[in-house]
Amino acid sequence: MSTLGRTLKNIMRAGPASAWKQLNTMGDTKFGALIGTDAVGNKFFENNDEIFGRERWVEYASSDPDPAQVAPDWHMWLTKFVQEPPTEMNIQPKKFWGEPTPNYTGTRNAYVPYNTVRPKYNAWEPEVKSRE
Amino acid sequence: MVPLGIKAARFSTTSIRSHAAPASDNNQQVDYSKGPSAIDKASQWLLLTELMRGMWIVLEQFFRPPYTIYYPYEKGALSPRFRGEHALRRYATGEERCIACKLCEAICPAQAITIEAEPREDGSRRTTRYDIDMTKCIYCGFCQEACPVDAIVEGPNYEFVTETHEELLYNKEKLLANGDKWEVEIARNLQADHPYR
Amino acid sequence: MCLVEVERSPKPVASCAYPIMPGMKVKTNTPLVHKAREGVMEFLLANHPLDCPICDQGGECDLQDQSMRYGSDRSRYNEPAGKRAVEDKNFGPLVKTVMTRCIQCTRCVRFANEVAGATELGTSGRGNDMQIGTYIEKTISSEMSGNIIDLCPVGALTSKPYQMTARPWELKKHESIDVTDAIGSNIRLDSRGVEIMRVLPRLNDEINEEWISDKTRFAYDGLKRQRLTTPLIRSGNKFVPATWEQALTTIAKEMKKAEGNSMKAIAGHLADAESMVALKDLFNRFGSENLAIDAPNGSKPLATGSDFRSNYILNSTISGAEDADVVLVVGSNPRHEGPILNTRLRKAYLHNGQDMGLIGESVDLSYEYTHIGEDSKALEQILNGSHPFAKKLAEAKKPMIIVGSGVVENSADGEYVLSKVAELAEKHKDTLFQEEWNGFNVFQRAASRTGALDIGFTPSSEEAASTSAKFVYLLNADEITAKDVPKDAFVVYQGHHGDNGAHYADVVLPGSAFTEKNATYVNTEGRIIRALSEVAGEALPYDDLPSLRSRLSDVSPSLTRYDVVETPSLGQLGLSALRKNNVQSTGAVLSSVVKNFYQTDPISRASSTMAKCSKLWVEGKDVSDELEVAHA
Repeated sequence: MSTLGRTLKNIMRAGPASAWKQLNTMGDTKFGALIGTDAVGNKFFENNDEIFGRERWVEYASSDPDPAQVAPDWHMWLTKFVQEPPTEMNIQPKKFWGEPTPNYTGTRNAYVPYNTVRPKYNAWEPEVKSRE
Repeated sequence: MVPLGIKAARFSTTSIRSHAAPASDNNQQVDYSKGPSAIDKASQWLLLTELMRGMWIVLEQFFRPPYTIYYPYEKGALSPRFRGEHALRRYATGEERCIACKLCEAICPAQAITIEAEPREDGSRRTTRYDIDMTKCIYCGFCQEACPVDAIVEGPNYEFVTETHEELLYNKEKLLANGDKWEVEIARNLQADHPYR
Repeated sequence: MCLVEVERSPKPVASCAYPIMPGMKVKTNTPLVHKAREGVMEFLLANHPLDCPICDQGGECDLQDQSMRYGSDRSRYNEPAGKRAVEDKNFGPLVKTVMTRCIQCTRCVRFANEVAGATELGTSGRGNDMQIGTYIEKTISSEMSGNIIDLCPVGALTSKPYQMTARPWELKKHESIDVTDAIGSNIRLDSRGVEIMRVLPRLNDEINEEWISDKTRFAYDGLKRQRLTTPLIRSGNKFVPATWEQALTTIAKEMKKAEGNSMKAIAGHLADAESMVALKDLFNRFGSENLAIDAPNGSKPLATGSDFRSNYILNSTISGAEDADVVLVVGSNPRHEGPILNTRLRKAYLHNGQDMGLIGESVDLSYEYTHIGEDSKALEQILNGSHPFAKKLAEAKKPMIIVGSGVVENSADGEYVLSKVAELAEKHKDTLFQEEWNGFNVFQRAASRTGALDIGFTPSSEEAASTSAKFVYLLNADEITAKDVPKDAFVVYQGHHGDNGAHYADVVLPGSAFTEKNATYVNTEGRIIRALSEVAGEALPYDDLPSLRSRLSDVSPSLTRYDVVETPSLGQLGLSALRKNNVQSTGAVLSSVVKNFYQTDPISRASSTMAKCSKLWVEGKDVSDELEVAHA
């Protein structure tokens, strides 16, 4: 929780239900315009009157929020690398673009390194020839 | 007329003062005649005034809006030149860019990159192994500067923590998958930075 | 790029084509020189593609080095037609061509015509249209063709097996010698990790100058295939992987059963001197003198014997072959048995007017020679003077007689031929044996052979040799056939490749190839044998390489004097020992022993590059579709 005035003001503007959720997750009350929702359901907000550095934020759809759940297109908006949100960018996805994946570490889907080259030497396949 | 709330928030009992005052000369004899009297000092000591002043500052900060960024809900701003997790890029046709020139391997100061190459079936020069040991990498960005075809780049992702060491030994397919995932942002980064390259 | 400034000369002078005069003052580092070279560099780069990142020469390219020094970072070349583009030529499975990169220095053409004797390479067209090629669609079938890769200053000619695999800066360089023939060319092995990436020649004017043969250069990929990795014990009709302990105790048990000369050891082409001396000591301790070399005649006392060193070495030395004015080759094809010697002889033919006569199979040696005959009758003709070449030999100031190793080791006629050669040498002894010149030579073709003979790794008597073997130890012996191994004998094979020898073995012990060990070859590790000796109960007195080396020098002092050509003093005496009156000619043709130059030892037989070469050049098959898919 931050200052009392700010907290109360944002509770008033965001409504008690979302403010309660914010206080349970983020620990602060915020209010801003909903800029977009990504494929997973994460909601992205912006309020340029906020304190510097805190203008854009995300409300995760997942109950176990992880920053890697934000897809790359929204990631660049969230990190203020671009001004316009991806919904306004007219992105033409290429066929080879992969699905945005979360960080799988600790799960069964975690990446395990493997060798991509052929063996360096081949052993002889033992074979017996009869003597005369 | 300043609103009451902000007035309250700005309320402070301390005044700004210089903390970088020159240290007094230690050799000089302290002249007690000019300082506070013994009674003053005793009463301040007994009434915990210094403690109260400290606590007051804490209380003050409590009512001020915090400048803390609430990660992971909010994130710090990134530059297009940010050097995060590595990725191997592809051309728009889906053809991998890396031509196995091994300049990145040569320039890597941490020797984190291992490349093996041989001609692909169609005769083009491609890598069969492109391994980066992310635990060796020092994120200096020399590899992406050495790359003549913008194949190896350091993407904007810094959220790739893992629970085991081996997960950070990236191979070629992991790097290509990274490139495919982050291409939208990587391409935008390179575009933003191209006037300076 | 060779422009220099000469004092009182109005313009820069091409140093490569300008005669030197007394009192001339040459400046190589002046602003004028720099400007001139920058100009030439710009011309060179005008048509040179900027594909250094994908060029195999990148990092060791002469043009790259020069352009780092004299090149500009901008190009003024703005022709709308673009740079010159040339179609690539097919030079076969060894040399890859990217002709667009060619700067037309014609070094490859000069090498092919002057050194290798492959006159099919040349230039066509002039100026911008000049092209290097073989005029008609043809591959260069020279056994020295790989050297044009080293000569090419840019990436126009690069090694096909090495293509796109490594960069020069990531390779570890190991100096070594070659064992694919008995020349012992000085080579440099470039490795990355556990892999040999390529083989390059080292400069040694005494031996290989700066050339190596294609087999030396390209057989290295055989080191990765068909390797023996673990001891194998035969059970019934298959091999079962075993531990070293199991394998060694099995061998020791059989060794104790066998007695005296019924234990036979055969040393192959790639056996090193250390292993051979250890094996010899081990067998001698078990009372066996039945040591043999891996050749058809190897199991009986050799025609040359091993008593006189001058009887089985190349006495005239390889560089000495250039000085000879008349050469008589008996039963050898130097082009295939030692291409380096052949280029020496060709050099002498071109520059010194050397005459050469050949007795044996008529082959293309890449220069002209007199073919005297195919069998020992021709030798008799020379001896009684009825052949015109006999006159030349008699008039020669520095004659040279080269007897091929095939005569000694393979031919049924060996003793007779050698005794006739000895007679011939007797006849011309004034010219053949001079101060600093011994014209009688036996030209070995196996890397290990001279070492084996130095050590005395031959049967000491007929009696020892004729004992039927109960226990056979094959040390890198891969030239053997099913007939050489008695059916009921216990056979141990020690080597590095699953080749001919291993097929017949009862126990296979994996060893190291020449690239993986420290060993001595006489222009040419006995660790396994040491372990075996302990298990067998007869411990050999050395544990490590230095003590084995010192034993080696006890056996034959010349073996540890590296890089020195030992001149045996008893040349004539040794030769007269070869004269025997009771031997008869069988009239057998002295055929070439090397049927397939590209595959003569286990390493090159396992090499896919060499397989392609022999398919293309020996069997004459088209391999172009295999070349498309460069790596199978």
